[in-house]
Amino acid sequence: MDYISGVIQGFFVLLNPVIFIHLVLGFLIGTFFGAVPGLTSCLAIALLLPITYSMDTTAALVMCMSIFMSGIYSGSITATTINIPGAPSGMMTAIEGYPLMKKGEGAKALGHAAFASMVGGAIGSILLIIFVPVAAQVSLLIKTPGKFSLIFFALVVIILAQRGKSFSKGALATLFGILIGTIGIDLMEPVARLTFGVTKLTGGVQLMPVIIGTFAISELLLQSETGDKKIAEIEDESIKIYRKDFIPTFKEIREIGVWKYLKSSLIGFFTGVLPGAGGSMAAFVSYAEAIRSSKHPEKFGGESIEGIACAEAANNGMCGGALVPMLTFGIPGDATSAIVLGVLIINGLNPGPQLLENQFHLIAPMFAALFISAIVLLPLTLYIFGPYYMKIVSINKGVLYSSIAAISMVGGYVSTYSVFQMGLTLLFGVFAYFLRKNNYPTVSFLLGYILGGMMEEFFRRALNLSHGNIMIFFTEWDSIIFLVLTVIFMYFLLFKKTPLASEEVSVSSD
Amino acid sequence: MNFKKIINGTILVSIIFFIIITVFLFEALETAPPLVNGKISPTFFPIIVLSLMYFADIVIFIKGFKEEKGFDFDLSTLKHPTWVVIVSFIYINIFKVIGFSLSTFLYAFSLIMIFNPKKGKIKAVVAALMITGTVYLLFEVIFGVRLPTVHLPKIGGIY
Repeated sequence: MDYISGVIQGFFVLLNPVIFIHLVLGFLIGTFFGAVPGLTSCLAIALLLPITYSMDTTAALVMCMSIFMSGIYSGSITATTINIPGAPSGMMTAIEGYPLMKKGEGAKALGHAAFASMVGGAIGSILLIIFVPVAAQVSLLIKTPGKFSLIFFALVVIILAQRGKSFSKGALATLFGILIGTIGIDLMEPVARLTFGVTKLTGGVQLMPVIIGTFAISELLLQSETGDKKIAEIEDESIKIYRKDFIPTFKEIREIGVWKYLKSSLIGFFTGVLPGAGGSMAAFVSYAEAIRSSKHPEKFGGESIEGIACAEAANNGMCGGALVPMLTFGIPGDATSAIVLGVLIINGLNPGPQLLENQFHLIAPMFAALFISAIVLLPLTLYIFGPYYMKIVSINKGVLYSSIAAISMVGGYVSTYSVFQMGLTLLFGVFAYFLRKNNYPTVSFLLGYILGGMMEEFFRRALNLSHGNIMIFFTEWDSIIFLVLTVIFMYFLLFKKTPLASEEVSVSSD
Repeated sequence: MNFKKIINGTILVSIIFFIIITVFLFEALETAPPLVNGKISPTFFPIIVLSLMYFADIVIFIKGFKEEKGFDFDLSTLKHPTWVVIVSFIYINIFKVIGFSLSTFLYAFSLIMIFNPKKGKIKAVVAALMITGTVYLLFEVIFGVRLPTVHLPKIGGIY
């Protein structure tokens, strides 16, 4: 009962004008970053990270949620209007949306994408509210060896989920992330490790330079390769979008079917719970299922509204799912939730059952923000700004990326008021640039860095408990469950051909 | 021997990783052996990670040999990123010396010129001023972050 009233209070917090402004501002920032090819909601939250030092925690978290929701949805905007998905999660939408755009039905495609995103986002948020307390109770049952095995399981799934980028490259990137996480003073003994005599590294490598470098600076370097003036060219500028065409008809929605929306949202949510899967994986799996179960599979690949609806409901349903393991176990479901985890850590909040018990007043507005972003802001902003969405890509690239560079660099500085951190930001940016150029998944590197510290802590604690006997991981029931799950996932994702393991799916920066 | 014909990007990156792993391994071993008096030391976990990295890197290296040979990487694509890195490096080094405003203005201006070399200088100056102003407004005014100010050299007791 306390939990339900806490959730309701979370909605009331959004009525505070300051919090509400942050919600709307976050939504607009997320829409912009999600719609511009090359920019993602992940990058938007990464740039927000240094600012959260001085922000009210609730406002920062509410803003992150609205960026997350709008950033995933708005990938469909440029996917439909110019055939370039603004976010990787909009890939499937581009297949169906752009042909409709060329037929003059772009507004209809955008309307269906928004409606499905609204449904998926709302269902995902409700499921998040339902599942979080359950998952938190489950997390209490997991002891130290089990926690190590759970992180091991998560990291293996993260590597496997990036199969489009090769298993060994994913493994190497993840391991390098873990290694970077071990730099600095040891967890249990006052010994500085891997610092190369640099005293400023004694405190370890901070979260800020790793996140900003990996997502912002590497993108800046990639984009600088082609110094074009515009983000993308609009093929046919004569195409007009009218507001009245955004609203899907009841007949069209009925043709797709309520069950399809619900199923796609569920697929999205549960794919989101899987570590490392992300929005593009959710959209792909849902799209594949939509083709399999459709009455009109022949329409797919060119003009299927059903395809758009299933992909968009799933990728927005993923938002809620990705937050479940992050809030309860501290294991992010995707790169964006990994950065949201960074926001929590910066504000002194540690994920787990204690967070839900003692600081639920900070978490409940997050749930409310996710739900309101989906159900209110998403259709509202489409109706208000929709006709101007095509203009987004006309923005000057030099000015845009120079702004991002300045915010990133100053952001690196504000974490510790040290130019050393700015240097690390640049270093990680250059490193991530070369990783991306050579098809190494940077999201694996980031999640390895975030989870590596916890993994080591549980590993050593477990060994201390067993006096160095490694069999503790194979005799505790909770640990055995996760190790068996690891083997099962490896079997299905590595050796069995499933849609999830398809080489076509690339989830690098989602 | 023409190295460009026998290596490719995959092999080159795996060699770079091999060097990085080796350097980290030496540093770890210099700090402490993985086991001290039968107990695990602070370098135990990093050494396990480094060992696994060697394994993954060798697999990538072998795969690289199975791939098409020839280093077809177009070095000209690195021209602009190199300039961005140089300009960013200079920015970091002058940030505290000449203060946030001037250094950020110069940084933004340089980046705009790298992205759009044909852009008019006046337009670039205006855009750089706007970027500097926006970042200042965001960090210093709205969120109260203290950014470095100008430190002019003291000459004969007069600034």
